Amino acid sequence: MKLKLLACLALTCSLSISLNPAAAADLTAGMKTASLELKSAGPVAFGPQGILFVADPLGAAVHAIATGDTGKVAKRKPVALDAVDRKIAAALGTAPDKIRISDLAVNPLSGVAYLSVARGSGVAAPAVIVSVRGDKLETLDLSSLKSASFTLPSVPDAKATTGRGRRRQSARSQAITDLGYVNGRVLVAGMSNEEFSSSLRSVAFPFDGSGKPASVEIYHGAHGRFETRSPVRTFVSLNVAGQPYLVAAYQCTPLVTIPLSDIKPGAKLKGKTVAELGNRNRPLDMIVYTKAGKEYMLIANSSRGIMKVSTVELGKHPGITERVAGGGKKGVPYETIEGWKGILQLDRADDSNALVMRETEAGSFNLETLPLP
Amino acid sequence: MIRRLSWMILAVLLLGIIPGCGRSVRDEPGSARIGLATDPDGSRYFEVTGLEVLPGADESSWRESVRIYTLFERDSSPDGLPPLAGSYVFTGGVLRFRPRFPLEPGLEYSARVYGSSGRFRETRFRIPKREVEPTTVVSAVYPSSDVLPENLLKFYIHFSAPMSIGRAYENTRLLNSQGQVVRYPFLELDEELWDPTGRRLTIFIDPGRIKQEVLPNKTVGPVFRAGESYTLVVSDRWKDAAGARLRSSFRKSFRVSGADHESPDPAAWKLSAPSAGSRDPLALTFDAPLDHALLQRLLWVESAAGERVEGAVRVEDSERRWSLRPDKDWSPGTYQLVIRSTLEDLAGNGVDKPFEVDLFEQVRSRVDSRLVRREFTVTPGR
Repeated sequence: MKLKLLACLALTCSLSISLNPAAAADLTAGMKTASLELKSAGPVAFGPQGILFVADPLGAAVHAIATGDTGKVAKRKPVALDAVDRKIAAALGTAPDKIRISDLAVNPLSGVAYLSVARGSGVAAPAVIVSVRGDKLETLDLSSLKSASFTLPSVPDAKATTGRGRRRQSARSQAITDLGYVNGRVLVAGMSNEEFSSSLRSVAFPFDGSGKPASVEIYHGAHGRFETRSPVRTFVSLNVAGQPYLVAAYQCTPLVTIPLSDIKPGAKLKGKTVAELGNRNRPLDMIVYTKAGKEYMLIANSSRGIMKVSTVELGKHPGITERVAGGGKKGVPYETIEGWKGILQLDRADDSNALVMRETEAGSFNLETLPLP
Repeated sequence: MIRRLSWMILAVLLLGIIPGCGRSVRDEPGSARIGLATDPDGSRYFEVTGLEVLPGADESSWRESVRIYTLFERDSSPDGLPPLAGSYVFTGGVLRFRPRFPLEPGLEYSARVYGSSGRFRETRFRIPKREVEPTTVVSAVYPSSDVLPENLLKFYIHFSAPMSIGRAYENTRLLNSQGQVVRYPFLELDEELWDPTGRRLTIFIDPGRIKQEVLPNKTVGPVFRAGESYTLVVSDRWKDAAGARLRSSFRKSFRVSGADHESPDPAAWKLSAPSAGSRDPLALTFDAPLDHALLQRLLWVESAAGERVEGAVRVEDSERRWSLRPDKDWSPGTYQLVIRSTLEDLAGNGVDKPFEVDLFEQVRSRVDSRLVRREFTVTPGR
């Protein structure tokens, strides 16, 4: 659920800057310093110019926060903080079991990590954004920062409710499973707590109200035979043969590719299955990076450790269209990275390092910067 | 003794000359007093008096001079922990520190005033623990039927009060007829699927074990097997949002029937039209149970003029029966039963399409319209 600014995307951006002067404009110009109140804070991701995107599922919104953290740092101090859950709890004045860390994202400009946190137990728990620079932890004061918000359009009849008069209240909510900034758009993957649906929304940024957001339904076609709606758990963008794609992990485990150009309002998209990540396994996060001139993708999983996949292989794969005998795996080859165990969150720290949140045997969480494999 | 005291005084004087290294307080903090005060709204804050303040003291220097630490265990040290987040205001010789969030009952806080020497004076405050009685219970689980299809898609667990979030999957288990735990039956999401009040949790059965031709289903098989019995267990160790455990555990036992791959067919529903002039309910009987939550939202009645008929909706008979008792008497005329085509049955088969469309086999033609309408007439009663 990470920063989806990729090495290839950086290249795309630099090209577009040279072709499009508007791309270099101040993206925070239309933002206002209003006391932003997060109803909740789920997945987070960085865009350019130190802008942090925060998914607010309870508020049915995506917020863009100008962190002001835009200065390039001459010598970055790698993020390393033991027991980050205890330290966040201490700063928020509560016990470690009364906070929930939803996600983390690294600002590519500064290397500073930002975590979305809930302080408290229930849905009414206040949401907080915490930054970690090196080993220094701070809570963000959102009242002093510029921000802009986009309210996610509700599905038809989402407001139709139970109860009458003032007691009317909708029980429907939309979980936001992931978000990312790709080529001037914010992509938001979600699923409902009622109907089994899959929505992927694409919203132009800055949020100036112009242009309708594109909402597509994602389907899974198992071996060209069975077609089902398929909510997305996590996604990342990358270029395949010069074309931008999303690589998405479905809740039912297949890893698929979807051309970004297909994300148009009302489209019904079927991802091309390039791998099945296996049973009893949840893909948690994905990042893309370049090493020795080759591009790779890392997938953090709940039970299969970290998988490393060559994106060239992803691009070349024709898609799994036949049954896999004996339930074995067929698809892009991957390598399991030994030693990266207990990873709960993953993001790219810089060109050669990843930032991870790892659960220790004692049950607390550490932030560690690890060299990309 | 006198000689040692002289050295100490000298040291204090020297330290007093050195600017406060970003601190606001001169010399030793010995004379400062820290107390806990309460606003009229009940929120607590720290008050520091007796400070000898250096010129130019500001919020950032106060952060260095007066720090409050959270202590997780009694008599523990805050070493290595960051100070409590909050704001400082210095007026009338009194410094007030307001924590960003209310102090937590049951925890201890160490309030420290640092002098420019680096030494500090500490006062500890313990916030009395609030005893919370277990009162919250599981008030309902849907589907409520005791026979569920093999390809059941989800459970709704309703609670009598808002619950804590983040512990759903460790407190919800599925047992087979031998009492053994069924492993990994649910789709475990980082963002648990709660309603906006925190009283209703949606738990999806892992779709990878329902969908055909998907790896988890092929290797470990479906969660449920037709003919077997299962029990959904909700643990009383689960805490509500106030921190109290559930008053009791909850068990729902059910038998599993064959898989359901058919879409609900509104044309086949039995409709009992009420009489004009009455407030009798309009009643629908389905051929199979439908999704409890979606029945509240995706099914309604419109008058011939297109106005929604307001009233009380009831879902009964294990979600096989839906009724609407209007707020006003029925007028004679034609009405429309309106169904949003995403209305689902227990296996996620929508009115518009089944959960899975088998592209090799003949499937019922899809409903193109997103709204399905069925007309009925209300006539004067005999």
